[in-house]
Amino acid sequence: MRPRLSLKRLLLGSPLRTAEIHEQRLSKKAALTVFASDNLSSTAYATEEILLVLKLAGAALLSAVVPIGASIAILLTIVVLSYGQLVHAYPSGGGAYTVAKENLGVGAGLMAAAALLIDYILTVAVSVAAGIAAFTSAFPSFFPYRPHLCALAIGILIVANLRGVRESARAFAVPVYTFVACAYVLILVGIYKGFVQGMQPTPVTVQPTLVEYSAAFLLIRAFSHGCVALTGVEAISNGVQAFQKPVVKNSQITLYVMGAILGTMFLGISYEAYLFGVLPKADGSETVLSQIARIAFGTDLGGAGILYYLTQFSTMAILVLAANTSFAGFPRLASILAQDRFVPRQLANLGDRLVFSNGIFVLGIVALGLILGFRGDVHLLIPLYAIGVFLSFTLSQSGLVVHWWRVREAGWRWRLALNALGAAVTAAVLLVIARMKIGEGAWVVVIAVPLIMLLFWRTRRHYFQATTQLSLADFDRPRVARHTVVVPVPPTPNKVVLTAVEYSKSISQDVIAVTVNVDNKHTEEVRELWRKFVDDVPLIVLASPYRAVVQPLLRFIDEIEDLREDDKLTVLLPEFVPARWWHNLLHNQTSLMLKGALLFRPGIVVTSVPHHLHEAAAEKGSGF
Amino acid sequence: MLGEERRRQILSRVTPLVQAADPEVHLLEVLLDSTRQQLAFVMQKGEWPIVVGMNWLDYVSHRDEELQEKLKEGIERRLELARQRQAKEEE
Repeated sequence: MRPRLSLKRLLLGSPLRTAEIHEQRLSKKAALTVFASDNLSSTAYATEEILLVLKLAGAALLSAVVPIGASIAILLTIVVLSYGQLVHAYPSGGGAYTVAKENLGVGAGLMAAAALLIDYILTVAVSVAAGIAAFTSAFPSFFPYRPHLCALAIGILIVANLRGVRESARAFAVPVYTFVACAYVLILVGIYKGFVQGMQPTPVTVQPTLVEYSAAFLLIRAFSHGCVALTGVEAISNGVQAFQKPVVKNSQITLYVMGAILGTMFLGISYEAYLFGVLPKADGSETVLSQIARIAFGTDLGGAGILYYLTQFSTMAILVLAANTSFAGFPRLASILAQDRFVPRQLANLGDRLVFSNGIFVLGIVALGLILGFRGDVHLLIPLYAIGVFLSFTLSQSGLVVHWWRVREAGWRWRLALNALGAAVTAAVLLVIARMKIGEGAWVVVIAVPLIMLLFWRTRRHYFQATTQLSLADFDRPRVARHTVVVPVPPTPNKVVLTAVEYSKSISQDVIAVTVNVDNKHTEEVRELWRKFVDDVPLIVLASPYRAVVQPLLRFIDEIEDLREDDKLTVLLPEFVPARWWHNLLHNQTSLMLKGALLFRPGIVVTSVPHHLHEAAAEKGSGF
Repeated sequence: MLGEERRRQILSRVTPLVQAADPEVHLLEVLLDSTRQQLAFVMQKGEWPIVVGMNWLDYVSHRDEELQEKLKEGIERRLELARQRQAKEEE
């Protein structure tokens, strides 16, 4: 027989065996596309973020873009080297959460986790919104459809990630590596013009618009804005277990390569912005990167201009794909939190393609909600960014300092010193960013982090209580002395009801049928049916002056439940199951309502006796 | 389950006692459990079903006055509980 190809299989592919998990692991090249797209894409806007602040002081501070870029590159080097130590110390993954939890306490770990989860969600929201904005800039007729396009982009990312890590890496490799190649060609052109041809920096004339602040303040502010370039550095440390063996060596190499690419690209683009005298446009009509590429390559499609368009398209692609880093990081972090019972345990389950499917869905849906909530406005979302990242940087580096002090393995002194430097630097940057961005919307993150931590604790407490109450430690075999079965009977009884009554007699000698009189004619039919077919089960007919059905039944069940303490009560619901799901809409859902209400009544067992209808069978009457 | 004759006898004895205890309460049915030791009187007052349990020996040994008193106590206890439940539901 030909196998049926479902839509799910068509989109996601065939299920993978658990044993194939090792085959799903990533090579260094593939991992770079999965874990580095967020990090590398930040070069598309980090220089612009610095220039936006420096421009406020007029032309005087614009030359500072290179030293600020260099200081951020130094910061990046420290953070990358520090994270290399984290990967060495914690090869099982977990990143900042695991390190902070194990060395600084659970509270610190949860703070890091909350900050990271927020950042992952923001990364998806910001990068998808930014990528779609780039697209609608090129094709303005699509502008009104931004939310739809964002939803489509997130949908594609969800499907690609649900197919599995290897397949998503394969799908995203071309745009990521094209972007990196274009950026390096662009930088080489700048180096050639500046150092070989001896081109002098283009003078820029711009009026200062913010004179009340000192130059030092603006420089620090520009630095804090440029630190957005570091977002995504931590992703590899969370996903160490996604790498092929040896996992530590491979993930460290990938991390260092990512840091080197990011650092050189960021420095090169900042240098070119200075060399070409490029400034962010007031109306936002063209990005700094686009201006640099246009000057370097021109726009002549017959010549080097093709590289300009290639740069622009790959930039747009990598901005959307930056979200993919979060799709790799968020589900992994969530799965680790779920194993510790701080988030729903479903997030720890591997789907049939050996990925954390639930985490992928949750991330996609929350990010889409955020985009729709902020109407896809990137500028409203960006100030929320970076605080979470630097908070997790600081906590993880501080945790590693404690770790090295405790374990004192070979080389612990230099490792401790490196992480102490990382902790101090990132803490200082965190304070600067918090001070500079708090008024721009970063306060949302400051409130959200403790709220999410509270949610973690509440979830953990629930699991603890459930585990304690379900524990076998004090298990005493329950003795069911008596068993009473109540069978609710609908006003229009049929063979489903009689089948249920017959079944109930097989599980108990104490069976009570109960119906609600909402219509005398129907009640008489029920009595007639009972006289004809049932002679050994009493039928109780409850009056219902206001025609309510569920409430009188529930009250009667409560009364029977209270009758004896040693009695186990089962409510047995006769139900028929229609052949098509939508046929359910044609019937009363009294049975469903009873089930829902009885779910929260302790000590009562609810059982259904289903009768499946066939397509051809007439749906006459109802179970309920 | 009670035989029809015995059921009718019990209902005819208890119905006036219930009416005397609370005229708004209607006796709907009497049930006997499978051990044949425990009776349950199913009644209703307005929207509220009431079920009062009684040991078979008590039923046969009590005089009507005692039985009425016992039923009255049971009805009041169940109605009080019903009121408490309703208050809780309305919260």
